[in-house]
Amino acid sequence: MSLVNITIQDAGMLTLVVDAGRSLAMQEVGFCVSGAADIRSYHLVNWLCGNPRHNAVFEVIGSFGMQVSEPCIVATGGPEFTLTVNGQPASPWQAMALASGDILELCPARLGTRSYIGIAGQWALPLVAESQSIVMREGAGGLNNDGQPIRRHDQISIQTNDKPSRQLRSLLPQAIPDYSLGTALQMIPGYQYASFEGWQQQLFFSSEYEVTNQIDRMGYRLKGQPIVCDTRTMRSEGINFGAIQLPPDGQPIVMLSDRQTLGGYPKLGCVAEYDIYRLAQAVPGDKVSFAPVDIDNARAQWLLRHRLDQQLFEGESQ
Amino acid sequence: MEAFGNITRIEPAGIDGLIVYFEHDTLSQTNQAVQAMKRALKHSNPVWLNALIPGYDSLLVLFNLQHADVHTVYQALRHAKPTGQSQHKSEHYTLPVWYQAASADDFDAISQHTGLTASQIIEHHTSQDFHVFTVGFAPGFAYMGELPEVLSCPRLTTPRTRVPKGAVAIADRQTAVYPSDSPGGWHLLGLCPTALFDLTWQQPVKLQPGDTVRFYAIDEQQYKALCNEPG
Repeated sequence: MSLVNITIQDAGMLTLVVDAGRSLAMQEVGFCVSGAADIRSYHLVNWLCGNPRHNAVFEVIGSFGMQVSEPCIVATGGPEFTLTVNGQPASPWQAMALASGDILELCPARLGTRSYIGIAGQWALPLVAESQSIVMREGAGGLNNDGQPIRRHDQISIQTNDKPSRQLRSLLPQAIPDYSLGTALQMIPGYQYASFEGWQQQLFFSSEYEVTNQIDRMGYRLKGQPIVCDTRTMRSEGINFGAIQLPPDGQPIVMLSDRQTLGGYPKLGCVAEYDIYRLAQAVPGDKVSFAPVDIDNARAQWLLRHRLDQQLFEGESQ
Repeated sequence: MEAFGNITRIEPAGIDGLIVYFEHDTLSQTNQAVQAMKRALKHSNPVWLNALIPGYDSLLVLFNLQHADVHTVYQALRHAKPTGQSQHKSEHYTLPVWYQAASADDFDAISQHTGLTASQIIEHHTSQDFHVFTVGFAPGFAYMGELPEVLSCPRLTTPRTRVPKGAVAIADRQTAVYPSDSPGGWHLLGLCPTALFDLTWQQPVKLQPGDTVRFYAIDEQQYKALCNEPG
């Protein structure tokens, strides 16, 4: 075992530590699930580093820079960005061996997308509900376990494995996520769907919605054709990942990783889990639309995706 | 999916969720049916169960997609025997409130809505035991009710970006104490010095569904003294 110190030189607009999220059962007493907003890119970057499936990584909006004190393995991923190591161009979606003192810098092509930076090893950060994710709203996680994001000059220690070095992993081009919003996000109708009139349901699926600037890890507010629901009196109920809420103004809000556990707005259904990453990488001004998928069909697609991931993740054993 | 018993509707809630809606004569009985189903499923502890999130009149069942589909979950609901008593012994708490504390005082707005005087508002808020229906929104945020109809107030048109820790609040026929600083859209009555949530506790959340709470009025000096007490 050896210890690597990571010094943050540029924390961009927002740098958080995230992992696969907290124990789902902790929602029962009000803890949000948290975890990476784009769970797809997260798992790939984490795998490239050779980390276990629930390891911490950086989730960054805007630019990012760090210096490492000792040799270590890092990998990056997300929508298009420029990447350099000591000023020399480097490639995303592949593990790299950094040397003592190396500086990694990253700058996204479109402001607002989330980039993931993984480092092989165990991060010395507190656990809350079985997760190292920083949840700003709850004041939990992070260097002082107070929910503060990672800042410039912060230092994080990572315990690396000194196992004999295995081959550095890289992702085949066809395995790189497609973030484009050209096809509709698949959505499973549910919750109060039946309380919306048929023509309102149709209007929702035939309309295009713009991503507003009121977006964060809690939820994405969209703007477009208002959808009206007759249900006015509703009691607060459990909110699942990707739930599409319709507040009285009829403008959809899609609930993401840091969503509150309960809420009282009517909901049309949920974006299918395997499509949420595309929305989580959308930036203000992007257009999205939705298409209904039945719950059995959605599960079949999830299982297919899951099997392909298993082949990727387990195909190369150490 | 066909409803049965006091379940009125079962709907998909995402790729890995089903939400089950209950109805009974009163909200308390409905909520007891929700909690009883939660206990029954938790007790049988199927391998596919990820989480059970109770609302007032609903239970969100989250399952592992590799081990189950909605039909598996539906069968489990049908075969569940939600009769047993809670393992958790219901607790009764008395919580002090410094009403009209400067940082948490919406008495003017509440008076305008309800026509009640300040002392009537306090009287209504302290003269009955409230039932904890569910815990959620934020860690340890306990939804309690039901307030007397005369004290019912709508939510704020524009939510506040920050409500102080310990703020005692009302909305519709519900009341709650904000366990930590948070955004919030409820009308505020005052401040409660009792800690309700602490990550370092073995059970980080104090109030649990089924518990009962009675509020009582204290003044500023008592509030400050209680804030300084350990635990």
